[in-house]
Amino acid sequence: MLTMTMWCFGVVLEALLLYRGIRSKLISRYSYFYVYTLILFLSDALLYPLYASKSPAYDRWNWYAGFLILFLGCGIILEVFRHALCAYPGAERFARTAGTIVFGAIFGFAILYPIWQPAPSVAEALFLVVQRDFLLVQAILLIVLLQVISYYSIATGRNVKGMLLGYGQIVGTTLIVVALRARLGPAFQGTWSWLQQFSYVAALAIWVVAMWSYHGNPAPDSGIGPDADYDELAARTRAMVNVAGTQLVKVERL
Amino acid sequence: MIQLISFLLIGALLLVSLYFFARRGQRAEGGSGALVEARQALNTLRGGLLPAELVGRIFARNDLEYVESQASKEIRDLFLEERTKVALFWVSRVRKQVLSLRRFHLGSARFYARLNLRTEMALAMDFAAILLACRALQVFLYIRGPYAAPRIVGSTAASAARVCKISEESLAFLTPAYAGQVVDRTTRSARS
Repeated sequence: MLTMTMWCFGVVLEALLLYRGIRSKLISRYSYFYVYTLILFLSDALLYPLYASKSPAYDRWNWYAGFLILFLGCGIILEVFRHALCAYPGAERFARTAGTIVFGAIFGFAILYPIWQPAPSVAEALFLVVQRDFLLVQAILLIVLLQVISYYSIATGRNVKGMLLGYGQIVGTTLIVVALRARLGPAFQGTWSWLQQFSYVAALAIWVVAMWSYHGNPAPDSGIGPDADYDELAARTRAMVNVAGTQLVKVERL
Repeated sequence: MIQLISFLLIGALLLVSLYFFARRGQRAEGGSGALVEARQALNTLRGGLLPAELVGRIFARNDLEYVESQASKEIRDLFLEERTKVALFWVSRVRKQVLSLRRFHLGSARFYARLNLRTEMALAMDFAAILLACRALQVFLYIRGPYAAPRIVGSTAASAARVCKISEESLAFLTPAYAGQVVDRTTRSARS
């Protein structure tokens, strides 16, 4: 009963998120995020009657939807890259290198999986392993992204912050529960299912609040062009640090 | 088991990172504010914290000699205690200004399309090393007191001159015309 209630609540939140996206014209600004939300909404709304009627088609389509959502979730990370780092070419370069590697892995998987097309029972087992590994890569990427944002003091608006918090929370929670399920086995299935649903609903609630209207990123006020000489800046900073460090060490040795 | 622990650790690390990300402020750093802040840090280092006469006065041994010759042991101990506090405060202020200069570097570096990852990592290590050195100096002063190292004054003064000179060059190199605009803008906003 709780599962069905949370499922319905999730569908309502997804519909509200899409409605607000259209009303506040956020869909054109954050297209990857809304494609993800649309697929989430369609899969939840269409799979609900199959689940309620205990149709055998549910198992098959559930795993396909799971793979698709897992794949599209990377679009949110791409969205954050695009919006949070676009004004900072240096920080963006740092994050882009890591992003390219992850997306290479994602597309490789997206091409290979339809060729393989395993049976539903195999798909279930495969999904758990792939989901865990896939989430691990995404979690590492998100940690790198958060560290870059923090290290370079990059300001983020409410929209980007909400996307990052909601999706990061899903990835972190799912990674933990999937790893625990792989270890604890079917005994953990009930808790696993409930925690995942709760995590999704919490993320949807964060997104509804954060994406209610447009809040762009605070624009940095800089006179530095992207083509300015970085090497000279770095060399001078390094010289400054080296001198200060050497002198302080001398002081300590006195 | 190792695999499980690593998965749990990465998941937990992500959630902790998100927690700190959610708590941080929304101030857009690195623009005119950072430039003004960096200039203020440099000015504080040059004019307020590192002049030879100030450093010399904080660590002046003749002050101790005078107290020892004129006052009782209790007053001497009290003097040493107070002077150690002043010295520790001085190091913590220097550390704070170095942090401000680091913030300025990061605030500038993120705009450079040709940013070099390896150089940035090396610089991060260098800044960490100098900040660690400040911490070590604090421990040194705390344990051994301000008069344990008589040559501390000269060495610190030399450090001051060189650090400030290079910092000044670094700041002047970036955007001298822009810095002028920022100062004008800051002055105007202060007047209004």
